[in-house]
Amino acid sequence: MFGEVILKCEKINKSFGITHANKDVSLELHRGEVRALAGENGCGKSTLLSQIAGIYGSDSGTMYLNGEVYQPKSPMDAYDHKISIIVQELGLIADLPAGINVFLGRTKQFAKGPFISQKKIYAAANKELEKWGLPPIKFRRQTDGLNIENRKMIELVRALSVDPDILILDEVTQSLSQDNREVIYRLLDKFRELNRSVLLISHDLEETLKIADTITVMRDGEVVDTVVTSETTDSALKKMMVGREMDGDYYRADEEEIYEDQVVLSFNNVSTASGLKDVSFEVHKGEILAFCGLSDSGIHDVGQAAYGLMKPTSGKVMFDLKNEEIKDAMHSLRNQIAYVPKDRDREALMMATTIQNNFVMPSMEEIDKIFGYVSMKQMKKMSNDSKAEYNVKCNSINDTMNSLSGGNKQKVNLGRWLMKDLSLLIIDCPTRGVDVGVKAYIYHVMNEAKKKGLTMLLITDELTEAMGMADNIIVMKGGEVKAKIGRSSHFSEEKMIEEMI
Amino acid sequence: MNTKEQKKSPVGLIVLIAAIVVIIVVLHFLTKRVLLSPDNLKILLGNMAVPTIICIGFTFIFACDITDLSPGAIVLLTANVTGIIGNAFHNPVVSIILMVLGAIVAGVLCGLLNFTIYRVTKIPPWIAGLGMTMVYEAIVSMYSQYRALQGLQVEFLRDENRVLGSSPWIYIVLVICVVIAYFIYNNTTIGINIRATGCNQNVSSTMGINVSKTLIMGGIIAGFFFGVAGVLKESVSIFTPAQGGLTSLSTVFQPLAAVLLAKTLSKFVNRIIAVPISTFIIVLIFNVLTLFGVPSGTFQEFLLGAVVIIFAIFAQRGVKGVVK
Amino acid sequence: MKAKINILDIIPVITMLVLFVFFAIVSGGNTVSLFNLQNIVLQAVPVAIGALGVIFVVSLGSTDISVGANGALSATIAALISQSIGGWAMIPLTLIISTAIGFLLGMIITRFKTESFMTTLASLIALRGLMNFILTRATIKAPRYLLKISTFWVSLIILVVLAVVVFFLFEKTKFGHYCKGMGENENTIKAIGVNTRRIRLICFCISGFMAGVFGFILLGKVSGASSTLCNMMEMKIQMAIFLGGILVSGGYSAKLFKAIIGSLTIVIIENGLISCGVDTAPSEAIEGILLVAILCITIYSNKLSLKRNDLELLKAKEAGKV
Repeated sequence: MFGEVILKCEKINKSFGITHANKDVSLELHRGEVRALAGENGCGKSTLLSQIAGIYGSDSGTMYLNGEVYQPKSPMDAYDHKISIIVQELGLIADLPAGINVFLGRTKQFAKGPFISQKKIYAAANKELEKWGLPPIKFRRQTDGLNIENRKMIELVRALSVDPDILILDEVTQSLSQDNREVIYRLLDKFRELNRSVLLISHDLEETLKIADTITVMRDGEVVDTVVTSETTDSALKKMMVGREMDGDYYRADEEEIYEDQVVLSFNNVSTASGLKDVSFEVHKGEILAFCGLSDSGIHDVGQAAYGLMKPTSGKVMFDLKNEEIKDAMHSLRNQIAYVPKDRDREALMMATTIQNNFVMPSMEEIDKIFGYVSMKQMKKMSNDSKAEYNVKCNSINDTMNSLSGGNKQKVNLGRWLMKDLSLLIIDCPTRGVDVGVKAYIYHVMNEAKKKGLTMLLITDELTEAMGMADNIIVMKGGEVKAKIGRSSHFSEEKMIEEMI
Repeated sequence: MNTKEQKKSPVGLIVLIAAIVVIIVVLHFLTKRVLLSPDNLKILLGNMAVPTIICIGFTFIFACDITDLSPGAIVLLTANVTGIIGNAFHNPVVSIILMVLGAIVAGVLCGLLNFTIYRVTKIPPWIAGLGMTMVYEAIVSMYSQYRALQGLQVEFLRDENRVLGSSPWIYIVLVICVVIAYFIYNNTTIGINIRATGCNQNVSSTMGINVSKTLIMGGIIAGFFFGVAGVLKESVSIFTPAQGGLTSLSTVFQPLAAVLLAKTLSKFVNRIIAVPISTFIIVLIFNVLTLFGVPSGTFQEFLLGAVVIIFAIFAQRGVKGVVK
Repeated sequence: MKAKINILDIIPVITMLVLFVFFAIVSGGNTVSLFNLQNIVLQAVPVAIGALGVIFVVSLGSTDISVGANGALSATIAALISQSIGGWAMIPLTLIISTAIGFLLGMIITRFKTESFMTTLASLIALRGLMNFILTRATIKAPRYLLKISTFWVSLIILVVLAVVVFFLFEKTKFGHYCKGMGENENTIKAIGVNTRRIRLICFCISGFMAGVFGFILLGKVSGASSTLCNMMEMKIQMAIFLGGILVSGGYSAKLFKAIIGSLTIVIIENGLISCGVDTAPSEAIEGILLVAILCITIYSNKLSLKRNDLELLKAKEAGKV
């Protein structure tokens, strides 16, 4: 039903340090085919697309494009082979006009002598819009003045401007409104018509089933299977994505909300400058309260506001155990609240210094004595104890943080808080970028902590994680609370996705 | 979740210009109608030329997202090169052409050297720039000591070679520089690439820009303007005495204040157009101070430092994240 | 488990000794006379005191190059005021003024997020301008007793006392750990809940305070204020810190002894160059090149040691230890 094979990957491997992102991945893409990659976060699907688009190299394995060996050295090299990608993170230069971003790095084609004409660039950009039937964009505007949705569309125009044979879309629809999603769907049809191919990833399984011709499912860096969309179902896909890990004690086994009545922390109509609107909730002792939503839904802001890192413009964040308002983060720290930010390497840990320094930093306020004196001996003991307790694999606590694998870094990241006697743990995307083994371990640690009565705010963009661990889930969209669902009501993924989008 | 769509607003610009004009007129009367008198205006515009061109150079350095304050020493060096070459030949036309070329080559070499060092060694530019300042200052000092040993004074540029420093040439050079800078900044691949690289190196390199080459080109372009600034400086002031102990840093403070002001103004107008406007404002401020009898060199230096800090505060408004 | 001696900690000491021996040989033994040795220490004391303050700021990854002008200005103003209210007020006034200037700078830098380099450089010019302005209006004489304070033993004792206090504060308290942590990753410390603004503000205050201390010591030496008071001190202090092997980006590479070793090193270099009859202009060039070279070596050797750690880890892994 499709044309001949256009791209063929054979036994592609890729490692990042100790993490093996892709293991012997093979894939065949045909002309006129819209192929989706599906799998849990960290299964290697984004890495694979990045390799095809020339952002990462491969450790071993070969790719063939139209039967010829294809080894892109850079995204520009991939452009020359008519392969273009739109990545998950925004890849635009904020200080330049939108239109120039479309042709940045390739502006020479507009040169007349030494000078290039900006007018011609804008005209060429508008021509691309026309050619692909896209809605108008104000190309003369400074890019940082445009909203996320428009910026995504600019990236799309940029990708289309190379007249691609293969278009790669990594989570493009996530930040788009329904109108622009329709635009993308029409674009896919156009690609089919032109006998060209698309590789895409979408968070939304339902959408994937709607728009893709075939779906390749990946798990832990390996291809599980490739199926034709019309011959598969939602649940069959999910089973393939998650594998056997779903059963057993990966997540919590019980189906009840288990916690005490005492309220630990509450939001009373909290709004913030970053976009939270009138958020209210209570978290009880021993409860795991999860926040789910797309990355710009405000779930991450809830964590920051709860810890006092972000000041509400109106409303109050109350620490009900002591009946105090949380005014700043130091207040939270002294009240034994913990906050684990989502960007582990950039926000949470100090990568260039020793493991010991990382372990003790949040405990300074407890171990200090007169004039703020902290004992070296005590710090060493604490670090060694926690290293043993949380099973961090390293030669010594004097090694640098950099030398650890992603999973071990995350163990330090959690352990440095859990070794304290916490009243509340705010945890933002704890399993991002760790492999399955460490993931299971983290859930195990969370379960243990819950049994001891620890209260947790779990902020996550992985629905399965929230459903597996939480007592209650709050679904957010656009800075507002959309729904609250209890564990005993049997979480339904469809319902939550509906609220999220 | 920034959904605002911003646009360069002409209204803001008009209000701004109106405010400036009103203030100038008020100051004109406060200074007993001296400020806008033809003689004073001539002084003002003449004083503007060198800082504006240095400021243009700064704009390119800042566009690379680099803080480097060695231009003071670079201009000191290129001014001395101008003097040496200008006095070496008898025919005024030949000497002027050669001294301009010589100064530009010197400026470009300094820019190239600085930026190569930043790129290769990865030393933060501000501190490496201080090191380079010391080196350039010392080169000039050593040359003037060498002259002193021979019983000579500092180079005095001969009058017939100082044409570029007088009206109308100084204004022509100034306008040419602004025009060249405008086109490089807005209408060349290298200009756009420099701005892209300064904004986000990672994204730029995935978009196919050679980051190292682009940054070093940025240094070269800045060096070109420092060369021209050196020629004008020497032509205006006849001679440029050697400076030591990082004192050359203070000579770039007016342009530095101007470049920070231009950054703020770039919300309304193109960054390069903003440069002469901001330099004019800065030069005007100090002209007014002089007219009010504020002692130059001492209390004016104090105010200069304060002005830099104030404009730095304006330029940093709305900046998020960690600033060291 | 005994902590190994880190190679990065030894390099500055070796550099100092090598330079010392080098200049001793080149100058034909002139530099090792008792008088000159005393002179080296005497000159190093104010630099080291300044470095005791600036090290806090550098450990954050920020910088403060206003200290020379700050010390000079606050000592000058304090001397001016104490001429009318009595000499006793001179030292406390200097410290109050210099700390206040540090506080002001810290406020600007933390509130408005201006780059510390640009801000302190601008204030360097501003403070110098203000001082020269004052000097054109008044002749300033230091109180007599200052002369005694600037002598070898007294100033050395001041340094030792301050060094002990700073050692405790910088190496042994949570404040010191937060400072160094901010240099490693400011976001970490912020996310933990520490008020990083306040930490930075305090660091600039300490830096200002120490500027005041070397300000009155240096004023005592020359007994009257002139425009060259504390000239180039900020650069000497910066170079001392970097010569000691402290990274520009701050963090746990900042250690107190390194700053003191660095102070001795920079004075040995200056003293050696003079003893060898090198003029001021070439000296400046040499110092400039040295600054760039040393920064380069520090950055490179830190990277190298990091790689070495990774290599060791790899080997251990192969041996099945991990």
